[in-house]
Amino acid sequence: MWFSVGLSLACGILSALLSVPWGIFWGWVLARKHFPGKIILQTVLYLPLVLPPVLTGYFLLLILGRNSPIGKWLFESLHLSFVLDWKGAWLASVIVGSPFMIEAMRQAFLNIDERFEIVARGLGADSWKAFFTITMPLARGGLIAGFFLVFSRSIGEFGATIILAGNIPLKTQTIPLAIFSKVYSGQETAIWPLVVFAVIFSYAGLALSQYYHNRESKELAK
Amino acid sequence: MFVRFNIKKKLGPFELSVVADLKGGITGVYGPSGSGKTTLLKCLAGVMVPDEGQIIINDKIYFSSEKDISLELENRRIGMVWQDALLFPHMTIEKNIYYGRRKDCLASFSASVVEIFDIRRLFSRMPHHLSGGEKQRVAIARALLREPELLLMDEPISSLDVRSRQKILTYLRIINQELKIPICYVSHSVSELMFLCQEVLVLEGGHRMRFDIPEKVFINEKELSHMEEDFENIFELPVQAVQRHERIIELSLGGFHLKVAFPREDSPEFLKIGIKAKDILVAVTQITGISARNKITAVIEKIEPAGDVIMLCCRIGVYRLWVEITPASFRELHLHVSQIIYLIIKTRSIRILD
Repeated sequence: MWFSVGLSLACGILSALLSVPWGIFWGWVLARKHFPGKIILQTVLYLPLVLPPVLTGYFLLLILGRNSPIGKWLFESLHLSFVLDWKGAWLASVIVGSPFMIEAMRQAFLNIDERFEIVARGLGADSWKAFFTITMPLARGGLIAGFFLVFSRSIGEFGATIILAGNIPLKTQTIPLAIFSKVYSGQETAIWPLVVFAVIFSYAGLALSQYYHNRESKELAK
Repeated sequence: MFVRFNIKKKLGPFELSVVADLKGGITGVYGPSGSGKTTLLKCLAGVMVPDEGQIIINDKIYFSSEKDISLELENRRIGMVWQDALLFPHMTIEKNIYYGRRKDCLASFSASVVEIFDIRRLFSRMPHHLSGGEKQRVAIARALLREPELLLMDEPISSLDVRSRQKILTYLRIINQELKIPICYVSHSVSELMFLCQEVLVLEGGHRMRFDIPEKVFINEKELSHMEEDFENIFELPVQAVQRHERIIELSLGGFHLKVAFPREDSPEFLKIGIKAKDILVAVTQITGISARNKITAVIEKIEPAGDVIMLCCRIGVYRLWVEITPASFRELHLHVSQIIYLIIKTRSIRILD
């Protein structure tokens, strides 16, 4: 049980951390840039939200499996494998959770008056300085809200993980996979501690996400 | 100090095409909505890149389509103050003020800006704790600490109350005179432009319609052709009081309460009025026992012959009022520049234009 709890926590935190730069970049592009085909790009980035997670896992397996060129290269050059490995569980959480971070950041950037950046640049700041000293601090609430949303989503991740990482006890078995195994092996009483952890993590993540989202809205409305 | 620009910018069906040489004082930019005022300011600031033309400030080329030069926003020493103060909401006032301060900015310069705008006491506060007027003072001070070669202001006081407006207008005159920073000031308010500006650029449909001293720009169109004969001073003044029983409204004109016949029932905040130069009487000593309700002390700033008459440009506080007298009166009264005179205006000689 403790391995599953630890792996789920690690996957949640790591996937939320990795989705930060990814979400900032795409959230900013979608909020600030206008270009042909933007809606197609946005749909592709948000696809994991609506695609069956099993299908997302299958696509990842096709792309990263050892028979694929990318998977083969990753394994032979970097000794990196995502299939039947805890890193697969982590990657599945990143892919499935990243649209939440992108959307949180897109909303955060949209809520910030672009003229703040223009004012900062007019005061001598280059684009990077304006971004890191003005835009990002103002988007901080969205960033934290997105972080906890990805974390919560990661705690519940099942479909993509079971396809890519498999359900190997003490190797790739996260809380949802452990619950799944215990239910189907008739150990129903053993699932309750896992259920409690899953509910606590998910609830805490979601509550913190809502708190920071609301706080940001209030601060920007001042 | 000079600012020279020749800007062409097409935005859909609208085209801005303006040429002007600013002398370094405060230049007003006036015109109806959609006339290109804000587009002009954005092109000067570097927020928008003109399609053609050039922008030169003190011999430095900021933009030249011919030489393929276009300085980035951050490399232009142009301050911009918007209608909203746009203070960075996550920073204290002190951090806002010093955000763009140049490394070589003299401490004495920073101190004098902070002192002029009286904002040191606000340093530890966050922007949302400030009033509209305080925010705008901070925004102007922040722009000034960048030591701009040109300060652009897009209706910076239009959302403020009357008291804050007058305070900020006074600050602007001080910074232009003491810090020698040219200002380009967009406004819809004739009184603001008359109060502040040495010249006014009038835009309409993206084109320069007039570029002249405010007194000449704001004369009624129909009277434009015979200005010397029938000059009318136009002001938009804040209302001080309405005396309903006497049907009089009192307007604030450079510290004086100008009484105007007012038959209406409403109580406006501002009133646009016209006073014909020939309807003002001049006295060199204070007069008592006269029926006219307005006796105003003024200083002669300029004396200009205009055809058969002499035009006196008189300063009342911060306002300028043109008075027409005959050459015979001029000689008899021995008038000269800087002389204190007393102007007499009947309430019924003042025309309400609103």
